[in-house]
This record gives sequence, C-alpha cells and structure tokens, in this order.
Amino acid sequence: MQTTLERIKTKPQRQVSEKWVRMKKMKSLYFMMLIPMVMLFIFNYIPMYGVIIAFKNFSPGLGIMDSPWNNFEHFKRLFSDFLFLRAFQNTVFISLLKIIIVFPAPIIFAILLNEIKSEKFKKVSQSISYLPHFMSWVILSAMVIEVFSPQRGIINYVITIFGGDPINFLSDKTSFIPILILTDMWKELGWGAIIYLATIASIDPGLYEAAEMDGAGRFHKMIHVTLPSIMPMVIIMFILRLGSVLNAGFDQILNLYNPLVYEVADIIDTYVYRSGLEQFQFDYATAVGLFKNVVGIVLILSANAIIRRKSEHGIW
Amino acid sequence: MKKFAKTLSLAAVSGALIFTSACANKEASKEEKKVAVSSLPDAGDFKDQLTLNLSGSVTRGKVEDGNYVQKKLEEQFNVKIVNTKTDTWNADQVNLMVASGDLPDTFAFTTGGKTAQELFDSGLTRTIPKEMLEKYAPLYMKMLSENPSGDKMNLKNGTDKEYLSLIGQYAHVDGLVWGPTFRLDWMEKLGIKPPGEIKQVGPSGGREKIYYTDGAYTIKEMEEILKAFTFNDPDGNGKNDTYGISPWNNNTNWTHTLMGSFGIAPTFNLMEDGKLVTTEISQNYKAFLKQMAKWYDMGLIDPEFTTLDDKKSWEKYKQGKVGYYVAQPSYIAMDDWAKGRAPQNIVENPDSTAKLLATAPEIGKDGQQGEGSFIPVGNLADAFYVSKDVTDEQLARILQIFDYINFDNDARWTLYGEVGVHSDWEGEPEKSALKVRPEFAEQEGNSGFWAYNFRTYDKERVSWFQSEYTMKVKNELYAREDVKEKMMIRPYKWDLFNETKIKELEKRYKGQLDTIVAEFRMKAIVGEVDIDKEWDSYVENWKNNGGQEILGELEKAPKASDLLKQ
Repeated sequence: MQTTLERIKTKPQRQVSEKWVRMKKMKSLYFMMLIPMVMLFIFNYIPMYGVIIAFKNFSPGLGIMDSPWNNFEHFKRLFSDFLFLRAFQNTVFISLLKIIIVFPAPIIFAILLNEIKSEKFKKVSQSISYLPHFMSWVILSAMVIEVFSPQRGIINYVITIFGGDPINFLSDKTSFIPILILTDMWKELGWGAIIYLATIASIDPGLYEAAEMDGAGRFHKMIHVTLPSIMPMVIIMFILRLGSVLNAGFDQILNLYNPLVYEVADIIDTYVYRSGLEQFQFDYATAVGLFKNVVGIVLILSANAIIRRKSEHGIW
Repeated sequence: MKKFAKTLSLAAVSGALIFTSACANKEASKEEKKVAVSSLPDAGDFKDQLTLNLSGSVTRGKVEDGNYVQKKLEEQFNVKIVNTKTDTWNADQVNLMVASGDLPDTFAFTTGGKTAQELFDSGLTRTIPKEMLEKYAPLYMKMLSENPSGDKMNLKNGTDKEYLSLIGQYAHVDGLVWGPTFRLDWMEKLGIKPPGEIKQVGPSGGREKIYYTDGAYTIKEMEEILKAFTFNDPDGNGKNDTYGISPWNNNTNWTHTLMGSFGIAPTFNLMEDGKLVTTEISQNYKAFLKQMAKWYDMGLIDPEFTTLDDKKSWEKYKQGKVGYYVAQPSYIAMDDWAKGRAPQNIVENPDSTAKLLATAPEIGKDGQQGEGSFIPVGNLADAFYVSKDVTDEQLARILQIFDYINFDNDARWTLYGEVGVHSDWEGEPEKSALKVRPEFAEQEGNSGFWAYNFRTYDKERVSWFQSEYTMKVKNELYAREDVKEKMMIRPYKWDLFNETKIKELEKRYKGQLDTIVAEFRMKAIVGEVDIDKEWDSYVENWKNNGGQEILGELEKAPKASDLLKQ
C-alpha cells in the first residue's frame, strides 16, 4: 500500500509519462512542427547574437566577435545627444497620441460596421476602408502633401473661399502632429478592424437574444454584449501595441516631415536614419534598436502584469 | 513550462555560440609583406590564366555572363571573369556585402562614408604598391603626375609607396556645376533685358528655346527681376500665382550660386576675422540667410518649398509658375539623362512657348561671384579598391586591365563597342556624343559596356558621353578658363591626404550638425526665428555638438591653396 508521501512523489512521474504517451500518439504532428521550430531557431534566434555589436566598434573585416568592445560608447553617445533625447520625447509623445486616438478607432469602426444591416453596404464600406492600408507611405505622402498644399490643396481652397489665408499645414509645428494622427488613422482603420470583426462574429448569438428578452435595444446590446465580448482581444492588442511604443511611424514621418517640424516630428527612427544608418554606423543603429526593444519588452511585461492583477485577461 | 523555457534558452545560447565561433572572421593580418615586383610576370605576359571577380563604378547587377566586353577582355588578358551580380548602387545590398566581407576582387562603390584607411583597417581591402602601378599601370601613373598632389593621395598612413585605393579623374565636373536660369519669355514680356549677348544652345529639339550668356545680374538686379516675376503677372493669366524662386528642402543645390554671391560654398570652410570657420557658421552665411529671409518675406520665394523635395520641385516648375531655377550645363543642353528635370522640362513639350536664359552666377554686393568647386581641391575623386584576398599575381593582371580600360582611349569599345556596329555618333563624328544602338544594352547586359570600368574621364572620354551642346556651353561659359579662374570657390583648408581625424569626427557628428544647420536654415528663411537674435546661440549649439572638435582638426589640415600649388 502506497503512503501519501509516495503518492506525491510519483504524481509528477505519472504526469510525465502520460504526456509522453500523448506526444507519442501525436508524433506526426510534433514532427511537422519540428521543421518550423528549427527554422524559427535558425532565422530568429541565432542571428540575435549580432546584437552584441551594440557594445562594440563593429568592423566588417573583423566580424562580429573580433570587433573591439567599446565600453558602452554608443549608449553614452545616445544619452549625451540632446537631439536624440528630443527624438525620444517626440517618439513617446506621438506614439502615446496614436495609442489614445488611433488605437480605439478600429474598435469603434468594427462595432459600427457590425451594426450595419445591409450586407452589401457593409462589404463595400469594409473594402473601401482597407484600401489605404495596401499603399505605401511614399504614395500616400504625395497624396497628403497635395491635399494640404497651400496652393493646390482642397483644405486651403476651402479656407481661401471663406476669405482666410492659406496655411502651410505640413510645415507648421501645431498642425503637423494632428495630420500624422489623422492620416495614420485613415490608413489603418479598416485593416485594424478586421481582427475585431472576427471576434464579434464569434460572439454567441444567444447572448444577444437573452439581452433582447431583457429589453435591451441596439445601443445597449452594443455596450453590454459586444464590447465586453471583444474586451479580451482589445486587451491583448493593447498590450502588444504598448510593446511598439517607440515605433511612432518611421515611413510615415520620413515621407512627410521637413526641417521646420523636426522639433516636434523628428523621432528616434528618423534621427538614427540620418545620423546612424546613412553614415554606415551599424553598431550605433543596433544600440538604438536594442534600447527600443528593451523599452518595448519592459512595457509589455509591466502592462501584462498590471492587467493580470486587475482582470483575468492578458498575454501570459 | 519553466523547465522547457530554460532548456530552450540554453539551446539557443549554445547554438548561437557554436554558430558564432564558426562564423567569426579571423582578424585580418595587418602584417605587410613586401611585394617582390621583379618576381612577378612582365607587363603583357599573360601566359597563366587567372580568375577575377570584377565590378566597376556602374555595376547594377544587370551584367550578363558571356557578354561582348567580357569575352574580349578574357581573350586579351587571358582571364576568366566572374561577374558581380549585385546592384552596387543599392545601399542595402552594398551594406550587406561590406558587412559580410564578401566583396568582389575590385570594387568602386560608395561604402557609407568609410575612408580608404578604414576599409583597410577593417581588413576588407589590400594595398597597391607604387612599384606595381609603375610597372603595370603606366597611364594611370602618368595621370597622377599631371594632377596636383595626385601621387600623394590615398597613400597608406606612414608610407609613401603603398596606396590604399586608386583614384579617378573627374574632367566631367570641371568648371561650374550649377548656374542660374531665368524664364526668358517672361523677361521679354516684362521688358527685362538680358545681362549680355545671348546665344541659342542648339537649333532644335527644344534647345532652340534655351539661350545662354556669360553676363550676370547683380543680387540687387535679381531682386527686381524676382519681384516682377512674382507680382507683374508674367504668365498673363490675370492671377497673382507666380513666384520668383521655388527652392526645395532635401539638399542645398539651389543655394550654390546664391551663396557664391556671398563668397561662400556649402560645407566648405574659410577664414573670417583671422579665425577658421565653416560656411554654416560664418557671417557671410548669416548675410545669405538674411537675404533669403527678406525675399521670403517679400513673397518672392514659393512658400511651399518647405514640403517639396527636388523631384517634386521639378514637377512644380513644369507647371510654369516659377521664374528662376538653377541648372547644370547638361540640363540646358537637354542631354538624355537630364530629361524631366527642371528647368529644361518646361520646353520639352514641342508646343511649349516657354523660353529659358542661362546666365553666369549672380554677383554679390562686394563683387563676389561663383560657386564651390565640385571637387574641393584638384580634379581627382572617387576610389577603386582591391579586395584583401587578391594575390600579387592577380593584382598585376587587374592593374593592366584597369590601366587599359580606363586610361587608354583605344579601349572606347569597353564603353560603346565598335562605332558603326554597336553605337553611332549623335552628330558630327568625333565631335558629338556616342549613342549605343537599341539592340545592345547601354550599360552591362548583353554588351557589358561600362560593366568593369571605373568612373574616371579625361576630356576626350567626357566628349563621348556629353552632347556637343553640353560641350559648347561648357567651353563658352561654365568651364571657360577665365570663368573657372574667377568663379571657383575653394575651401581654405582641406584634409586631402587624410592626415587628420576629420572624417571620423564627421561620421560621429554629421547627423547632429546637419540637423542643427538644416533646422536653422529653414526657420531663418521662413522667418520663424530672428536671425540676428538667434545667431549666437545657433553657432554655440553647433560648436557644442561636435563642431568645435571638427574645427580643431581642420586647423591641422593643409591649406587648399598650398595643395593646388604642389
């Protein structure tokens, strides 16, 4: 007869053997998974060793390992450069604005789309809203520049009709950031809504029926059924978005900005592009990238921990 | 789960370490072995076949194996050429190639500002002994001796017999690179007289609508012209919708002759009140900015320029709302490669009634006139490198090919094939440009033209690709000897022999300094800052962010005037 202690000791062993049996049963599936795992390891993990050039004076001829260490020189340079600190500030500010304004937009859009009765109208609206996502910022920026042109732009045309003077919006520090936010929202609104639309589609119709029986109208069903049901997905997307808080939209800004708005629009990526990559300083650019990744991962972990403490949702 | 994560991380780390140790490059040997040149084959002795992986200045990865030039070179020099299929004009591809160290035997692409010394120190290139050049590349050595300081450039630090790279002759940028142009049809309508006798650039193809003169306007006269262009309805549409100037925001090419009228050139340095300063912190630059700010305030400068890069600016010019624009000689001669660029794009349409007038650079209030020389000192530029793994035997063969295809003008076939078979004269034989026939690739491809050549041209070579009209306007205006003498602005000091740490410092601080300068320039012109009030803090900021260190190094560099005498 087994004692309690013996039972405790053998429990994990039993679990392991059960797991092993299950795995053996599904060995073909595990085998199929092996190939992508190996690829992931080779292409995503092994190259990570290259990040050490952030701490070295990288010399291509010497290679990554033999290049000399530089005593955190790149990081010292980063934090002693007032333009980098300004770029850091701008990045955080633009990114936070985008999180506050742009992040909720696809959620609202998805909920509103869900309320459209006509399937045809719904599909057309959806397709139109996806279109800008497929165009690069090189093309979109030309469109934005034309729309806001002080001489040919439609906005200034309206302003002048009402007797106002044309405004050079893209060279004005006060209007540049709102334009960034608006155009970013316009580009990604439809595409960003897809994931929420899919989540909405998976909501149990019984919940709506029950709400209806309780006398809920469309607005109340939206607030009390749709929104809570998509909340776990919203939280996951929010946490992941926080991870890229230091990515404030390189392509967009590079194609739209000019020296007159550097003060508010020069972000880490554009500044490093001008001072690091254009000058062939891979090591310096890697140091910046590492800094951004560390900030990103710290934010993801903290946000996840906080949200986990307050609710049952989260990434891990 | 924790155990699994631990195992996975351990596996990742060990994998990375194994991979790292396997891939790590061995440090390049810095020990120099003296080349026994006498033991190498004589010049012209090609009895052993060698394999060479070649690339040149225009390599875009489009070269086809077994092309016309390749076959002929292989036969002539008994080599097997391996073609470089990388686009050496693509920064990403070049960066990858340099970072991996997997370079062709010869290369001439821009390596992100790395100096020849840095490339050598990085173990990517080898040196080229002077003795070998004398033996295998006599035409190149002759060219060096004919140019001031040529034989002293690109020497490895501490030696006078080992070159880090080969250099090119830039006869194609001899003289003024930019010059002002005005809408002549507007001037005629407004009753503005040209500043001198005017001549047509050519008889047809749009060139008949472009004129040039060696006369020039003063800045004061120009201001009146710009005012008339802006406010006197030069296009006759009854609207106030034209501008004097439409600059652009992504480089300072539009400023060259305007700055010249203040005696300065972008990025150069000068002596001011006994102190060495760079242009961007000089009092003359301040005066230039004030002039531009005044014109902006008067409404003579298109306010949209802040959002337009040069290409968008060309498009805007084509709409016919701008009266002044800068142009290169090839633009006003309407050379093929310049099609679509302003200001010649305004006359490209056969129905266009626009006319252009190119003049000599504007004259400043103290008589200053001109622009910064394209090459600060002398006429030599660019770099042709030889990779670290190239043996002495291979180098001997490479140098003979290099000398022949780049400096022997009998090797014209490497660029244009046989005249009458692969190409034809555009106009009068030997006096106009050569045009490759459409059935052959203009560069690389099945012909292999330009595939292995370096960017180096003497005057004769320039005449092969610049039209007779470009040559004419250069000879009569932009590159006329007295014009060059009077109007080429040179820096006060220049580190021609890489004896200082300027390049290193510029690499370190360029991003910061360019940002400070560009921001101030734009804000000053559009009136966002009061130039007089903010000037001192701008200069202070520039100095504190690396500028002072660069000035300190510049002090150690030789004077450009002394270098030109050598």
